[in-house]
Amino acid sequence: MSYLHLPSLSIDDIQTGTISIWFRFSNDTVQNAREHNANYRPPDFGGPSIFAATIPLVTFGRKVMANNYDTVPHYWSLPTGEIGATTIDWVPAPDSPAEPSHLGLVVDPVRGGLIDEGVFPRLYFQTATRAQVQGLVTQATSVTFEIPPGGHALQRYDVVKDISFVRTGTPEAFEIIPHFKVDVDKWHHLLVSFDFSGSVNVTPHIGTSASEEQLLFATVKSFCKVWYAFDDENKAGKDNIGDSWVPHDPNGIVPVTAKQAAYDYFPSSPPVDSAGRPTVTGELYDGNYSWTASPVPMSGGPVGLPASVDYVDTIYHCEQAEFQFFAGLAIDTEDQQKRRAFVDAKGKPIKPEDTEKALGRRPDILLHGSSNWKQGKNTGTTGLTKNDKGEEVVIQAGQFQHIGLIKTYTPDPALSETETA
Amino acid sequence: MAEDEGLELDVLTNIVNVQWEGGLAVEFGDKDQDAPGGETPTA
Repeated sequence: MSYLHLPSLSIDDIQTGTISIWFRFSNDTVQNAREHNANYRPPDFGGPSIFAATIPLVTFGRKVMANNYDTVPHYWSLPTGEIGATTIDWVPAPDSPAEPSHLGLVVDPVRGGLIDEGVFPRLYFQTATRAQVQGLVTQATSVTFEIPPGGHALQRYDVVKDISFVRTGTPEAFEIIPHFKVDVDKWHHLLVSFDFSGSVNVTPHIGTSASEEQLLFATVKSFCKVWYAFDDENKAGKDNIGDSWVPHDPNGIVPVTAKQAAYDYFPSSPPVDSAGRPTVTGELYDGNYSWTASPVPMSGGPVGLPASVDYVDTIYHCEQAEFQFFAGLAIDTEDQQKRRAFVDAKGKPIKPEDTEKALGRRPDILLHGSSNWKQGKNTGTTGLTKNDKGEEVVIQAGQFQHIGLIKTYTPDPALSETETA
Repeated sequence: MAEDEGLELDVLTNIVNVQWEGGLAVEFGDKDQDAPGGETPTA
């Protein structure tokens, strides 16, 4: 395989940023990813979570560890030896790496337990901060027996406690998987911008009668924002942001865990059967959710195209061009002028010097031209500077290592088929 | 080796590649398209 790997990026952690990349991939790549994924299902299907079904285009950021737990069923026996009730305990398990921040494509994602066949963009931003969740937990303490007439009752109590370790063992992440599919064998342009500088708060909701949108307006008190354009078309709203979207703003986004808390509710009274016995135990009701604004951990972390060294097993054949990364810059991709800083009206890449003029600054990472890509030459501010005489000086620590055979590809990127013919 | 040839070719065509027209894109191989003599990343 081949890839570019920058071991340690010399920038601060960032709460805002903008990324531009051109890419294309073939049906063979999709089939390879699909084949790989057959033995690599997401957690819902018993598989690992890192890059399940994902074709990475770029990975970035320091490694973040997830705190795991095991669910341990606890069986309460009757005097007859039969199992009278089952409750669940959560037991801490060894930590494991969380998925790295990346832009990529996901093949046949699972949505609501069903496989959505096709190739979709996947934009994933991993922060280093867990959310705090105060939730209601029903817990069993002991079993008492009623003999005669038989049967049993589970003594239980309901407590509000910190259930963060169950709900947010993994530091929070922002994920976008839209509902539009991506075609094979043609150039695509992805322009992504994010602002994670606001904290996310969700408050408990009593009752379940509200519509989904009413519920979210009532419970989600604050959110973050993300903007992106795909093939020079601005993308926002529920279908384009996906499961993490909140209706307060076309570009509103919260971590999926926050959404889970927003949909849940405090029951006005714990569920019991007609005899007053609990019908559920070990049940969680999310309540107060809070995630304190925290940057994407970029400082000193690797950057890889299509993926950095830790994830090379997930690299698939793809073509790329014109990568730009701006730390600390958020732009609204609905603004055509901003999009024109990257893609011209004919659907071709803008020269980097014109992008610089339009945005008023150089990118922190720039890979421009086949030759620079093949040599891993970063001509952004982290890779190239000027000395007192105005001469360009390469910053060695900011250069990518080029591993394996990276070949020149033609035609050049363009959104129109006639332009690429 | 194939990779060395590829890199040498790149050096030869460098002048062409730095021109704006043409030579913007590259292709990456997947794990089944490993080139012999691939470099190992160094820390």
